[in-house]
Amino acid sequence: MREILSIHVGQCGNQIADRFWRLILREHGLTDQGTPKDGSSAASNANMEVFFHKIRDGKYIPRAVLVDLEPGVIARIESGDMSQLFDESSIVRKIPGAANNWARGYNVEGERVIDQVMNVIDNAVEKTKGLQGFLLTHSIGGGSGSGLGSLILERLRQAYPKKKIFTFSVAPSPVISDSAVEPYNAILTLQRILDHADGAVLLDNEALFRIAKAKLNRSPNYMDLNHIIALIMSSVTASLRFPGKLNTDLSEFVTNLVPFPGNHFFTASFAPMRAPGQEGQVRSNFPDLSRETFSQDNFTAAIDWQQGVYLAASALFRGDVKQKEVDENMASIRKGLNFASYMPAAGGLKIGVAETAPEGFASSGLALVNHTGIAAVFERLVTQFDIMFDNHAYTHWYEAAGVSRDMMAASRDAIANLAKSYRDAS
Amino acid sequence: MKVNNTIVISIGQAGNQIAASFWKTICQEHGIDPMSGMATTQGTPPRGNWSSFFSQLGESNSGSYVPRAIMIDLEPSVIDNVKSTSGSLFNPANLISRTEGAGGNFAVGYSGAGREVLPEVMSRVTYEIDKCDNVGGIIIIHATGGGTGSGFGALLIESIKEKYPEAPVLSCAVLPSPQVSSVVTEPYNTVFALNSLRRTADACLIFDNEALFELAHRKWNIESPTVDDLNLLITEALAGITASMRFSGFLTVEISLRELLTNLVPQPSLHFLMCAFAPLTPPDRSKFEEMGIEDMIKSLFDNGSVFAACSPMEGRFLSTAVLYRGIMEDKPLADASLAAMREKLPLTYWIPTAFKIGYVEQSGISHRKSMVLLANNTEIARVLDRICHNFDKLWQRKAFANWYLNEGMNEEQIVSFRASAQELIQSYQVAEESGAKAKTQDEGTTSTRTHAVDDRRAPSVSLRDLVDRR
Repeated sequence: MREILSIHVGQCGNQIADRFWRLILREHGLTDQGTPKDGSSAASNANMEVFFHKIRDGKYIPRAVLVDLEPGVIARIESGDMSQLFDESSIVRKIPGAANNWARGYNVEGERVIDQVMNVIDNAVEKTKGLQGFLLTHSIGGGSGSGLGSLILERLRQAYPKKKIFTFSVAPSPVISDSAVEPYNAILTLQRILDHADGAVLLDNEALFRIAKAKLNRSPNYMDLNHIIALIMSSVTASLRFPGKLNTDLSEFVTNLVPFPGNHFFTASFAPMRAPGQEGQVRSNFPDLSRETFSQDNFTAAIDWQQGVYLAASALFRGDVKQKEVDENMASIRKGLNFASYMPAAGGLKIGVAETAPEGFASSGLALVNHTGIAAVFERLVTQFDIMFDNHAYTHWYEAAGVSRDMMAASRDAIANLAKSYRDAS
Repeated sequence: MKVNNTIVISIGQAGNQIAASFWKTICQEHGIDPMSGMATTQGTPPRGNWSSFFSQLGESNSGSYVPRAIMIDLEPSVIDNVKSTSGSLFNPANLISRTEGAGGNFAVGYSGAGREVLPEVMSRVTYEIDKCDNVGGIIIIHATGGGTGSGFGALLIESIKEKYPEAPVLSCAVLPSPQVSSVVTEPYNTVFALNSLRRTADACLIFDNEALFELAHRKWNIESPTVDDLNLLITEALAGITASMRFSGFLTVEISLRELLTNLVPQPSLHFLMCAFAPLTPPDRSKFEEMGIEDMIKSLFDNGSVFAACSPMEGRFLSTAVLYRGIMEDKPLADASLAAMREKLPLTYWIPTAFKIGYVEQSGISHRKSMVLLANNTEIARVLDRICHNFDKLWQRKAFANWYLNEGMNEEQIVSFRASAQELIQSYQVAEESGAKAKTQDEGTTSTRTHAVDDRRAPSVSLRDLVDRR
């Protein structure tokens, strides 16, 4: 069975949910309401149970929990084309929002809703036979996804110590900031991801924006950015949903990608990036596809490629790709990647293939990598944190909501050490 | 759908005139008839998250929509005028007036006639708060020059924060200008009110009539602008600031008052904000002329278009929020222009990410595309200094002081209020000095935290001393 429960928290987390489930429905030959389309072929070879719970009339309900402290985004999902898709009892929406303040999401508002959220999660878990773990989508710079997301991570780990927890975490971008207190929120959240998650894919809006802009030939909007995230999530989970040999469950991901405990922060890349509607038009040959998949410009976090090295990488090619092509090109792909010197010559890189390409694509590639240059993301946040913290900027909002300066400093030190451990692994 | 609700309380002549114009504008934006409170399209609910600023009896779409408004004045004429020009829009119990007025005297509004009307007002506040799903914020619109807006405004904010310490309170304070002045004791009233605004309000947004007069004159080409013209400018800004509380959706997420405060107030004592609006096209021309996105952003940060008589580009920006309206497709362009503008701004080094961006699809009434800037800028000290300077001139000779002493204030109290205003000015001066410090000091390694503040040449008051000061 090996079911996975997705938990979407906050505005960003739920906007991603909207894109993600649309994509998953189509890949599994389901309508927006969760009923099988006629003559669908995808549904037959897939392991539907991983992401869906089937009810009597043949309808599939996503194994998803939607949580937000502001009702706007979820209300739009509930009133849109997918209005009949989600189980009403798996949606928690509350007011008044966390006001960009991690401490409000974690303490003040979080405490009010966490029991209900955990209840909903427990109920969803009860509908599984052999749950393998959780996916959490959220942003770490805001208030709800970061603060309440952190609280959920802690409680999940407590309640399900043996299950794997993966997060898709949208990190503050180096250029565009969404709020003044992002560095605080991000550091406080990253520490919980470090302590309680098994793996985290960091996604940075700035990188997504750059990727989208280069490929779409127009100014991208947030939908485009979330669509890229959805494509990545769909491909990361494809090996769990469709027959294949590599990374068939979340534990295998962790084993393959995490060489040292705590160094479980990944960056991802998806190829080919095409404007919606044009995905199928160009059939890339395999060397081009793999080159684009591992192109540095194509990754979704602001990685320091110069100073860092690869610790581990997994790639999944989907659709019209032959295992033979992969085998022939394996050595040259590996050679193009700057692996840590202590990795054995053939180690570190795992490549799999899956028959079913994402909807509309002839073939696609996904890379999920653990690169020490991710330290740059943490270092930048720690530097910003320090300047603000040392000058007592904005800390009163956190103290007023029950998060002391000591608690903030502890998170900061944990993330500074994380950055250092990545640098040391280079 | 449950949303955050905002209550708007207007006090005194200017406050109520602005509020009347504000409610008329947002009624139009939501598609609510400003005379009857009915939805203008029969049978369909108003546009956007109407329930953030309006309440409704029952669940049906047939009833009328009632502004979450309380209007108070110690004299009857403005409230009577609101009653006679707004049909059945407002709940009459929330329109509270008395006959005597405050005589342009803070002390009357704060302790005399103000105390007498307070119980009635607080019972209406409680009534409105009880109707809310959640109190997203309380906006107080008042002028600080007269007696009611300053005195009763201060008293009411203190009373609300005492009873509801959790509710975020934003004071929108109109500062007096000699050009449109009606009361000679304005500097006294303003300085006295500032003490309360500083200690009890969560933030105070300054609308400086001195600057607004110039704006109406230069940008709107009005020979001698009247108070009505200035209030129209304030209405545009207020409609823009509240837009993201009133219209939110899938991509345009709500920015609650609390969220604005989180971003705009880096330390409790530094909570005096200023704003700017673009485009400043004359209202009669806005139908025919449209300003480009880049020009709008340039205009927002132009010293000549901020709603306070000071030069923000000469001071330091502590934090900034820019709220767009009606420019969804142009958002990337706006973001890019804003990022370019950011490079030119005098920012504060210890607040590296001081930008909050919000956007709302729904256009305003007079402009298809518009934007508002909210800024916490150290130049506010210059505005406050101007008021204090005028105060000092009068106080030197104790001119008009007898009016306050007769109403129960004593000299010691007056001196302490004046000192409180000076402390506020000083806080911003400290913030300005500290913001200019070179960045190099903090570019050390990330694993050893630098204690920048300790190493510096210590000014007489340091940033750390500001933390607990209020």
